Amino acid sequence: MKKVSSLVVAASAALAFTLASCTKEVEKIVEKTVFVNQDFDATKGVVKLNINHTFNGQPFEIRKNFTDVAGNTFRFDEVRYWLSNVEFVKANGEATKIPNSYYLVEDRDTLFYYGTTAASTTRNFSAPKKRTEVLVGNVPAGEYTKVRFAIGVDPTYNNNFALSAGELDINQMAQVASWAWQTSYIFLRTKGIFLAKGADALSGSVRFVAETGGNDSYRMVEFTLPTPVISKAGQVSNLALSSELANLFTGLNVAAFKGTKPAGWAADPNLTKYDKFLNAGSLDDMVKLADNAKTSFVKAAAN
Amino acid sequence: MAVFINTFRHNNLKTVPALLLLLTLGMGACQPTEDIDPTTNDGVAELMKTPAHFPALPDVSYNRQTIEGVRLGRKLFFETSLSGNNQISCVTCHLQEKAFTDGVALTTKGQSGALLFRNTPGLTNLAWATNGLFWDGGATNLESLSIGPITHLDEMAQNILELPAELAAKENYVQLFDAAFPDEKATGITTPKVLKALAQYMRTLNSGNAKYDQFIQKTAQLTEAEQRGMAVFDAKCATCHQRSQHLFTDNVFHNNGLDSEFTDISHERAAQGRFRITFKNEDLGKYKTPTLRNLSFTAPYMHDGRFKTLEEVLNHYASGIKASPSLDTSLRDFTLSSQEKSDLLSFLKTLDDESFTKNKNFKSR
Repeated sequence: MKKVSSLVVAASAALAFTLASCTKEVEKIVEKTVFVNQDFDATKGVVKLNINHTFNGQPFEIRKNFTDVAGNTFRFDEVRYWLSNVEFVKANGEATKIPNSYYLVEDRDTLFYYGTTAASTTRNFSAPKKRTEVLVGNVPAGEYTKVRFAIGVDPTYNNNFALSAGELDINQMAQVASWAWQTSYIFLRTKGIFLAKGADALSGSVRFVAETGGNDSYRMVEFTLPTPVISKAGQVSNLALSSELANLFTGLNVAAFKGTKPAGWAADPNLTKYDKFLNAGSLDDMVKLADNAKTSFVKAAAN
Repeated sequence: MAVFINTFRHNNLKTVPALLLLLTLGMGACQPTEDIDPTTNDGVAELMKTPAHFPALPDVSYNRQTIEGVRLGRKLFFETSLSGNNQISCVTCHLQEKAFTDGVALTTKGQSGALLFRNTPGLTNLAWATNGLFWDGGATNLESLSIGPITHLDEMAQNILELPAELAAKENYVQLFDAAFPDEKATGITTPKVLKALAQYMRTLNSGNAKYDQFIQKTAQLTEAEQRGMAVFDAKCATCHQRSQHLFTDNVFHNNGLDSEFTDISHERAAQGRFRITFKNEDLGKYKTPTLRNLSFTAPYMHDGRFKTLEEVLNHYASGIKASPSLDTSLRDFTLSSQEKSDLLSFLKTLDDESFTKNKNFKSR
C-alpha cells in the first residue's frame, strides 16, 4: 500500500502556447485540473479504482483494429464516460456514499473542443489521453463487500451547471448545444470506425459517434466482491474493475445507427467527419446503449 | 441594541470594511442599511427589489443574489466578448425596449447568420420561472440556460475554454468577479461564474408596475372594457396564464393547438416541442406558457413567431385551434366571441409596463 501523502499532489495543469509565426495561429493545449484529493481527510482511506478495458477479451487501445464475436471490425478514436457516485457497502448492509465522487474516465485520441470553428484563429485541443485509474478519497476505514457506482451524472448535478462537485466541468462532456438542446452532461461517448463483416474496407466503413445522456440514461452498477476491499486511514487500497467494451454494442448495429447529426457539428472539425450517430435522435438505441454501459462492467475484485 | 456589520465597496472595488453601530434605543425596528458611497449608487440595489404583490422570491441556494453579482451580470449581459466574433452580446436579441425580445419571428443575428428555429423568448419575471426554461424546458435553471446561446455555433459561438482569459484581459473584470464570488473555491474568472452572474442579473428583470398592477394595488382604475376583459380572461385564459400570483403563467408546458401533426424531426426536433426533451408522446407540440406581460412590445407571438399581431393570436383561439392527441384539454371546445376578443385586447394592454421597458437601471453603466 502506498502512503497517501505521496499522492497529495493535487493538480496538474498544463498550458502550452505554440506560436506558428507564419500563420498567426495560436494553439493551446488544455489539460483539465484534477483535484484528486480535494478536501482529503487523512483519517480516512483512499480506494484506487483501476479500470481494465477490453474489447472481445483483448486489451483495449485506441487506433487499433478489433474484431467482435460476429466478425465485425471496430477501430476507436474515443471512449469517455462519467463514473460517479461511488458507494461502498459493508457485510452488514451499511452503505457509505462517497461525496464528490465524479470522475471522467477516458481513453481517447486528440480532442478538439466544441466551439472550434474553421474561422477561428485559436484552436483548443487536448492531446491523446488515457485515464483509467481514479482515486476515491475519503473512504471511511472498514471492510467493504460490495461496491456501487454510476455511469452518468445524477439529476441534481446533471440539471444544474451552477453546481460543482468532483471533476464535473462544463468544458468536459457537456451537452450544451448538441443533439438534445438540453443543458446537461453527456454520460458516455464513443467514437470510431466500423466495418461490418465481409464489407468492402474502402467503401463499407462508417465513422460513428455513440452517446448517452439525459436523466433517464443514468445507470447504477453493483458488484459483490470476492474478497472485501479494506480501507485504512491514510492508505491506498486497490480495486480492479473489468469493462468489456464489446458489450456496449450488444443488440446494436453500428451501420444502422439512426441518430441525427447535430446542426453545429458541421462547423466543428472535431465532429464533422462522422456519418453515423446514436443519440436521443435514435432513442431506443440510446436506451440500449445506456443499459449496455452498465453491463460492460463484468467484474470487480480487490487486490 | 443591534449591531450591523457591513462591508462597503468603492467604485474601484478596494474593500473598505466598516463597522456600523445602530442604536435602536428600544424602537426594535431594523433600519435599512444605506450605501454610504454615492459613487456605487448605480441602480443595482434598486433592481433587487421585487413588486410587493408578487410571491416571495424563490431561494436559489446555489447562487444567492448579491449586489456585486448582479452588477457583474448586468455588465456581462451587454458584453460582446461573450461571443466568438466579439460582436454579439445578449442584448443583440434581448432588447429591453421590446421587453427583452427582438421583434422578429426567427432571428438570423447569430454569428453564422443561420436562421434559428425558435422565437427569442422575453426575459420577464424569470426569478419565478422555476419549472424549466427555453420554450421546451431544456434548461432547468438560468445558470444552465445561458451556456446554450453562448456556445451554439448559430448563436454566439463562443469557445468557452477561451472565455475566462478573454474576460480577464478586459477592463476590470478580474476585480468584478472577485467581488461577486469571494467565497468560491475556484479563484479568478470561470465559466460557471459567468453563468451565475448572468442568472443573478436576469432574476432582476421584474415587471410588476403596469396599469394592471396599479389596479391590484388600488392606485388605478380599470375601464369598463378592461374589467369585462379581465372577467373573460379569468374564465377562459387564466387556467394557463395564471393570474393568482400576477405572473400570467403556470410555468407548465401545453399544446395550444397550433399544429395537428408533429412528425417533422428536422432541426433537432424543434417542431416537436417538449417531446424532444422528454421523449413522451403526451409532450408533442407542448411549449412553456409565456407570460402575457408587455405583449405590446413582444410581437410576433408563439414559439416560432407565426402570429404577427394579438388579433391573430386571439383569432387562433377563437377559430384556429387544431386537434391532436396532446391538445390541452382546456382548449377542446374552446370559444371566443368578437366581443370577448375585443374586451380581452383591452385587458391585455393593461399589462404593458413602460417602467420595465424604460428602466435605466437594467442598463450597464
